[in-house]
Amino acid sequence: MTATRPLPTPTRMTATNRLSAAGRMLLAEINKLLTLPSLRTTFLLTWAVTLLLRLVDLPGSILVHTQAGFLIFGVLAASHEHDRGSQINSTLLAMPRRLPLAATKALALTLVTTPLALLVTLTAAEPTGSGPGAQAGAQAGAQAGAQAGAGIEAQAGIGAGAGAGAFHLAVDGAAHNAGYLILATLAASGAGMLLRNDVGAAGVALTAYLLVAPLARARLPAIETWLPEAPQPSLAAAVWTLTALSVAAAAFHHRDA
Amino acid sequence: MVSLVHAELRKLLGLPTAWIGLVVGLVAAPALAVLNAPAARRAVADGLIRDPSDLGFQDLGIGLLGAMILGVVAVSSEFTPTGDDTPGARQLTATLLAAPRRTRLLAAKAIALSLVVAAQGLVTAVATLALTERMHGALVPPPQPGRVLAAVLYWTLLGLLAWSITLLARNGMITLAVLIVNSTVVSLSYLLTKVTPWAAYLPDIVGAHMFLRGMDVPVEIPPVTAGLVMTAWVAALIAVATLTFHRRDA
Repeated sequence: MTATRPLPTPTRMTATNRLSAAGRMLLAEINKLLTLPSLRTTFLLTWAVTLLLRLVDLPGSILVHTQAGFLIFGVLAASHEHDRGSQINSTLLAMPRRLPLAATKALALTLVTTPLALLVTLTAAEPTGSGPGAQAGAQAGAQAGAQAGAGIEAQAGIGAGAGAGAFHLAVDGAAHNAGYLILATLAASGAGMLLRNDVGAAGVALTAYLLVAPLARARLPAIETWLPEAPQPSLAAAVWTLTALSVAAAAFHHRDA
Repeated sequence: MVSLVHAELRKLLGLPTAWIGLVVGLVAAPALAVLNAPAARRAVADGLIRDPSDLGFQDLGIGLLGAMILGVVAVSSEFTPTGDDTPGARQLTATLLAAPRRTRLLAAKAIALSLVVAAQGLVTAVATLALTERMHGALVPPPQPGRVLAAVLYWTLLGLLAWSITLLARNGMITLAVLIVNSTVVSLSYLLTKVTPWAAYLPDIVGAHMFLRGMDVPVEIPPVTAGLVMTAWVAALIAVATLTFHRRDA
């Protein structure tokens, strides 16, 4: 009466087995990011705040404020490994090569952040440097801002260009701004990996992006081009991100976990 | 009560993150005053600054970051898991075992924090204003003691604001994010005053009226009213936080 079920032949590989080692590492990291409750909460709060700020029709760019959500997202994505149970020990047991692991982590975070950043920038519906209307608005705003010596007008100017942008421009702009948010998230994850403490890393990342960078931009025009400016992706933003990630990866490589 | 306050003081000053907050708060504002001096001199010459006596006081804003960090870590340290071997244990358990009466405990915590933050605020304000006077000389009128005290009060109330929000959220991240976003160069509360004049009564904006004179907001609020409104905000938040802390499982 015992029904003999055919066992799966040992040679048949499951979907995960068929993937290369690198692919499995990536899947594992993505899986971790997607199942973290703190990341889900952070994203939902960020999205809700973006929607709320859009409704109150705030002057200037909403993303300047909501980038904070993405910075925290990046910090948590990296620092959760070092939380209470020190998950990093299990992670390193499974994936002992640290530099490939750090690279995989960055790639997984990029893949997970991209759709979220697009969703937020589409919700914010802000134009960017792309598109003639937006560009003219941004330029006029930047001039007014330079004259008054304040950044608010420049942002208001970018907002004024919004009217001129057609729908495809808005999507274009969203993709553009999403690029900045992804870069900021990755830089924050570097801070999280380096400091291994969520509150400390969040303090550093938020202060750097929301206080120091805008202040330094306003006071020291000489180094302006070397500072990231929300919500425009720039060479400077990319350099900051690369630096943060490489320093964090080097520390991760050399340090006791 | 004195021994409770003493214990809380020692706990607060034993935290590495609290020292980061202390140093950041102490150094940032004087540093900004020095960094800002050439631009400020030009702005005064061009008549862009409504009230030159605001100069040193404006630079104090960035140092408030230190007060916020202190307010946050004073609570969040209690809720952080203590170690790898005991993932479920938090310092709060030990604290409550030693001081089971929760309202008294919170009062002691608030007093300890206020002492540290007020001392920090006083030193920073005096240092920043002295530097401003040295650099600008006759350009800036000498600061009135009343305004300096108002700035220290603002500093302390903001620390307590951060403290009560963290106590409600039981998580340092949320408070830190909300407060840092709000203390950016173009702060969220400030932008909201462009949408509705009522936003001028948000705690951080209204409190600044206590010591800044030439603020660009739609409503003029006299310093004493401003102080009362901000104190009411902080008192209300502390009341709600105390009630929840009293009721909730630790």
